[in-house]
Amino acid sequence: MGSTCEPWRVGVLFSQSGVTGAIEETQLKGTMLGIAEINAAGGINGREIIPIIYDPTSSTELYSHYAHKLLIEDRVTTIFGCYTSTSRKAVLPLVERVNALLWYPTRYEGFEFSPNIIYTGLSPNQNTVELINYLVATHGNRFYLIGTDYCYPRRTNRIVRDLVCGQGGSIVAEEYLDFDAGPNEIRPIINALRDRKPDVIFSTVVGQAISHFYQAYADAGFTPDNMPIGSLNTSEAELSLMGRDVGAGHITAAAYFDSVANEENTRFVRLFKQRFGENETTNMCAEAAYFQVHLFAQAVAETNTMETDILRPAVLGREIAAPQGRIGIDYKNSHAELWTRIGKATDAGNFDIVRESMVALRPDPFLVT
Amino acid sequence: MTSSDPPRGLSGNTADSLNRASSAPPRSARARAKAMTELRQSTVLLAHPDDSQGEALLREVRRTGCRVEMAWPPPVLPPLGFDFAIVAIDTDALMAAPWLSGAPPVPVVAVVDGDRGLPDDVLRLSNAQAVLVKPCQPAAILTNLALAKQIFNYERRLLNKVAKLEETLHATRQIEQAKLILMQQKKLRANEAYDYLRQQAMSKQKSVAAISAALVDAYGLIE
Repeated sequence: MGSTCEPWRVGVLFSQSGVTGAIEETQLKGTMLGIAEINAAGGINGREIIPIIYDPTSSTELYSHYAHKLLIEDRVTTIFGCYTSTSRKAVLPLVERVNALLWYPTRYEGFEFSPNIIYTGLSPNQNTVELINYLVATHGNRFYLIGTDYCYPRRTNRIVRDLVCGQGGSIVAEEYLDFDAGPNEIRPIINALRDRKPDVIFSTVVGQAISHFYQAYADAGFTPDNMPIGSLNTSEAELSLMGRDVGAGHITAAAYFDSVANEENTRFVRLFKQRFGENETTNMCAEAAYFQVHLFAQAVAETNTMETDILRPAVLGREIAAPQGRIGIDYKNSHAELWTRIGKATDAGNFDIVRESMVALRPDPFLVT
Repeated sequence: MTSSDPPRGLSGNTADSLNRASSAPPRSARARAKAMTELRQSTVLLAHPDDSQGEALLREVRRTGCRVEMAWPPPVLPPLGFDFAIVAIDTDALMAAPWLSGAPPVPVVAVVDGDRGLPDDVLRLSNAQAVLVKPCQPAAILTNLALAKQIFNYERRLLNKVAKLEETLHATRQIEQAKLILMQQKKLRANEAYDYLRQQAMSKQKSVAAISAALVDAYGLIE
């Protein structure tokens, strides 16, 4: 093998602009924080990590283009990246073809298994099931489903429909918005909500439209106590964009909130603010992006190579202390064992944790075990 | 890149890392040389008639540095202990060694005689990942071995993925069947039936899929 000081070159693919740029930028920050920490401590086996960063600007085509560039031209074998399922599906074929490893730090709709992805966000059994149970028990079982029009919301709503109807509840309506939906597109939904008066609004709206939607809700004079918005993806990042009091009282299920109380998280939040500014809040996506870099570094320290066929087995089954708590990667399906938490947004832009699991839950992306 | 960087220093860092990255070579020559060295240390089964062409080919494969064992006809059983099989593909070879058109355990490179017209039908029936046309040089042999290995490994990953997905599909179906049985027999609602299965699975430390399969089997016996 011989000694070397050649750096570990990795690809980083998160948007810094466009409709999902705001949340993806926090994933970029989480990634950069993890890398900086490892490099400051001497790198991996004395070798520095060098990120090659491209900005796909929330465009599927650019995701595909930059994945090509990273894998073919820059010749990296590890990529940290992707937020929407559309972007993941755009880079997946090439990642599989060249046998690279994609680290995907976003909760998603499940029903996928790629031997070339390490999934570090929640699967439906870890968030959707819990959130629906909570909402039905606390607020009632007449659900109004609203999402952005692509695979994550549509597939998630298929699961939500089963869960709600399975408990004797009903789906009042299922509506979808374009990625760039604004107040004009949202107005008819607000009118429908006023007429139909569901117990719960279940939102899989993503990106900039989230702010418009919550703002329109607040403008209409609705109150979260009677008709809360439940979401799997509205995080601290979106709350701060919409103006913090606008989101107050609404419900989100996530593995991580910045209010999680443990030593690891205190440290993570402190470093994040130090590096990116006091007003910056951590969130579920930034946290997953952060801990997966450490997970990667631990595994590479052991294998001393990034070759997928050697690195991947070293990642599977590995555990690490993450800001959300102790987490692990499942041997069988390469999804993460993560914590389940239900949070209620405060008017300070954080979440009060109203429920949390006792331990990390095993991932079951196909809902079969 | 230390935590003493100015706050909101992301864009600065980005440009910085980009510059540094682009000055680094795409992939070190060393890594490529290492892959080539590994390839040259492979063990190859050469299935070729022991004639003048066979001798020439044996010599060329040896010149790549690989260890070679020659055999003809190709062995009936799949070759074990080899990294590659280079096989003179013709109908006789396919008949003698069924594994060639089944699931070879190693990457297969076919060898054909350029002067006799290309046997595309025979190639189609084999599972070769690359083809050498005689006479061939060590460089051609090595690049074809490298290509065959890539394709072989990719096929394998895809087959594993398909196997896992099929297993999951089957499990989903059994859970649905088990739910239906419970709904009919115990007059449960869909979610109650699923909760019942999940509880059984938890108390017996098995997967819901395994419990469902057992229930479907047992129901088949009493019906």
